[in-house]
Amino acid sequence: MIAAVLAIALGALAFDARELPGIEVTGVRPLSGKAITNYSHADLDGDGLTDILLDDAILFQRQGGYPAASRYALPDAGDAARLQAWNGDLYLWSESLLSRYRWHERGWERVVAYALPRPETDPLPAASGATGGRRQAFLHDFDGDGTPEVFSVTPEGVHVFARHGAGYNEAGLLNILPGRRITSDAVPRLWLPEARRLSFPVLKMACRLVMEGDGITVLLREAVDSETVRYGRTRYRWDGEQAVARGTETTQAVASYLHPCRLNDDGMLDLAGGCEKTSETTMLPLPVYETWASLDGGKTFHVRRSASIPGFRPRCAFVDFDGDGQADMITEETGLFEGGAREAMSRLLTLPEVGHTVRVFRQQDGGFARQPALRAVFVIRLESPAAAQGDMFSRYRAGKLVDVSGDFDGDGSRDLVVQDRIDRLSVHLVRDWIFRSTPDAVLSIDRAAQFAVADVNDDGRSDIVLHEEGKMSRVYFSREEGP
Amino acid sequence: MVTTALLCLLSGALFDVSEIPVDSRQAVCFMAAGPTGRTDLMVLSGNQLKRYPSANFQRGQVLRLDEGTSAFDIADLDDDEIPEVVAIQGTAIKRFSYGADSGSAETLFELETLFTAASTPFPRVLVLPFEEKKVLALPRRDALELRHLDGSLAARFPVGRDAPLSMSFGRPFSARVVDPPEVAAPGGLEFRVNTVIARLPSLPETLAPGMAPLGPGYRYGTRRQAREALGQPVRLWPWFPLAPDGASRVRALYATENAHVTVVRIQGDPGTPQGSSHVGPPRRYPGQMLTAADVFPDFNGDGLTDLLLWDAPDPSPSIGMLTRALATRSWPLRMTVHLYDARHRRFSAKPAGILQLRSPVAWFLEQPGRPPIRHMVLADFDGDGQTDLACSTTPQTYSVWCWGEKGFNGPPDFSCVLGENLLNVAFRADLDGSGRTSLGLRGASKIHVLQARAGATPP
Repeated sequence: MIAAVLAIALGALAFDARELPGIEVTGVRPLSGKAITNYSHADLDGDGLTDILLDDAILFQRQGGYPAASRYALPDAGDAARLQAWNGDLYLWSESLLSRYRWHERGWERVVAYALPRPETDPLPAASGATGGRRQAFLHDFDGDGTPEVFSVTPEGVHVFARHGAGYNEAGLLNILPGRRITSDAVPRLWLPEARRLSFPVLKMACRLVMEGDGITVLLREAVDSETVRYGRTRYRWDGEQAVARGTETTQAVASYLHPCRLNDDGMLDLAGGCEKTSETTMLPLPVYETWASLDGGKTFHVRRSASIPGFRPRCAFVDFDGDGQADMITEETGLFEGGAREAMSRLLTLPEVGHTVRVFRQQDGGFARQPALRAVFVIRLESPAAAQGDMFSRYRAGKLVDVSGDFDGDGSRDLVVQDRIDRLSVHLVRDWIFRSTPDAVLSIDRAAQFAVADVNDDGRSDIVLHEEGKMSRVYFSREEGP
Repeated sequence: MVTTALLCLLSGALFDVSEIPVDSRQAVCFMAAGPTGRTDLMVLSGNQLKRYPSANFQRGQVLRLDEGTSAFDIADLDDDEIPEVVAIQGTAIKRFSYGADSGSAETLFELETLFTAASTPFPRVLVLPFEEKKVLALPRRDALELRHLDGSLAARFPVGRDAPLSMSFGRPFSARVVDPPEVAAPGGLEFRVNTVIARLPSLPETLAPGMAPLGPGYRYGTRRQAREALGQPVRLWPWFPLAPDGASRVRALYATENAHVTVVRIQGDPGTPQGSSHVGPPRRYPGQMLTAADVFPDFNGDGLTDLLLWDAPDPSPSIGMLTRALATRSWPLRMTVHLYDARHRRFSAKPAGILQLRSPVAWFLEQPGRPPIRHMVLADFDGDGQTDLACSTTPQTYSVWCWGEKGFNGPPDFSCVLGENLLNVAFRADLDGSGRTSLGLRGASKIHVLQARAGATPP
């Protein structure tokens, strides 16, 4: 690892830059604001510091960083082995063996191994990457006894293996996955006779499987037509041998751009998403992005509209901004079309910058506040007018220039990062719902770099990760004071 | 039936226009053989099937399908030139007369099929000629079975693991962890479980054309492929056949140089030592390729595909253009046709036809780089054997240009205002075998049928 190369501080916020090979942060979940990474956090050496578990290596945290000397390969259990950290140990499940490893000063020690063949139909782990790779969970403590059960999700259902004596035995096969259903996507030609074509029907099933304690929930998405879907939620309870159904709820037909999510802890199914529409009431046919949320399973909706540009998708539309446990709604609005039509057209064609507004609508009283609790306005330099559709404008349209998911000072309130120049990131801390237009920190970055936000070292303060094609990821660790 | 209320500007009397109401956006529209030997338009909404004979689209007849009906077909089972309806309800395979409700259906036999578990009616091809008889093709868990009308097995074609030739598409099964979770509470686990499977039984040639391919046999390259082609070896360029009927193997390879220039090279010259691998010189044409899925436009009817391009001026701070754009909320658009010149083995440098249009600004903004042309149909609308062009010119206006001796005339040969936004082209069909294509334009509340008018003369 290359040593600290940069530290920038303005006021109380500072960043130390480190290169961390293999680390990727590919974005944030738009409905939760959580970072999508190609690693997991665990403390595998028992020093109380969070380590980084990759598909093929462990990075131990040493003195606030992850030096190259603290990077170690994982025990070899074959490419098909899944891996998961549990209570300070590393579990590897190969095709026939479940092994538990513990780190000692000199390396990995296999504590115990159980003969436990994976079900024949257990799907192979995916290739390494940010979508889980080999870090596919297979341990879960269904019965709350502190010893994890082992499970495998297969076409037949969920196989559960429980610890009995010196080994793991199959405790049950939970036949809870919905069956494949025939799709009705394309209308076949019944006429002319010579145009008739026989087709074997396409069978499809898509669901979410959620495990929380002894509860298992199956969330089934069914297309009603090309534009609407319906979600069915069936809850089960694991009783040690089988899954006991506890009831099914089905939503009304909702727009297909609404997805299930968790916006609060009230137990109701939440739905959220967004869609692009065109305003018919303005002189120019302006695109409008609508952010939708339902906190009651699709019965009622909260919608906020923002002037947008075609194809724009906010990086993150829901995040618990104030740390109260409830996700707040984030909208982003472009200033490209502000003012009169002629003014807007002139701005599109001649002005190499754009005004951008972020609004945060707090979740409260079973809904979202009518007025934003926070309104932050930036000016982003695009290098060339929007009509020229340059690289910076492309990034702007892709929602890559603004991030509201980070908490850089660890105060529980989210802060904002804006790439307001092609070679600059500005970090604005938010305290007590107050946004200051003057950035609290500024980072100079390469022109080709793209940024993401994640708490890489799990210290409660978000960090900034820079990716650039052909280069190692560089992490700007946030800390409290300047060097 | 709502009588026609379209505001139509007819100059060539190309179409008779009628409207068919649809009660929901979920309604399914398709064509089927009718009892009079003509074609019927069918609109399926829930369990109600409405039939509109093409002889008179304004007179609809309602057929009710029983609750629990999953699949149905409309075909002539007994070769009396009058179609019957075959419907599957649970395990029951039923037949009833065309024009009657399924309540009067005769149960042919019972069989567990893949449709058994479904309960929403949807049209399927179930009736098939096999060994000079009509049989029912019924997909089952492990085979496609052809059954005679009495239920006896005519043929069986296994699918899946035990099939002699097993082909399947899709994603058999995947369970991927969602990390971080989107629905699960903190500390919980979440998986996204998916399975999609489409099996293809190995069918004998005698059933050809039996099984549909998963997609059309030929597709134009994507816009991205065209954009990136210039940096690739020419063998990787997207292409289209100049003689779609297979009369020759000459191809046109194309690449997008920029938003205003397409490069075309002709491959396959029997007169050269390299023969079919010979690639001619690059030639530049103004505009970007405009394609319609699986249609190879032949505007002059010489059997060879012609080149259709579109182009639009870049936004520029021209006060005149801006003012007009603001006033009309539209932007200029040009479509050009370059005919293939077989003698010189190239597309003509000079366009043989030019259409000057104005498209809504929103269409340019919606997806930059995508042609701002909606619902384009390339077909022969006037029966002269030459390709004509139809497309939306505003969200509620549909226009048709017929190719004539001098190419396209300036104004459209047919134009109509629908009174609602056009969602898609529900069907395009030669309803009476005259070579004239009729269109069904789907709006939110109606299908607007443009039925080719018999006796209409090319403009």
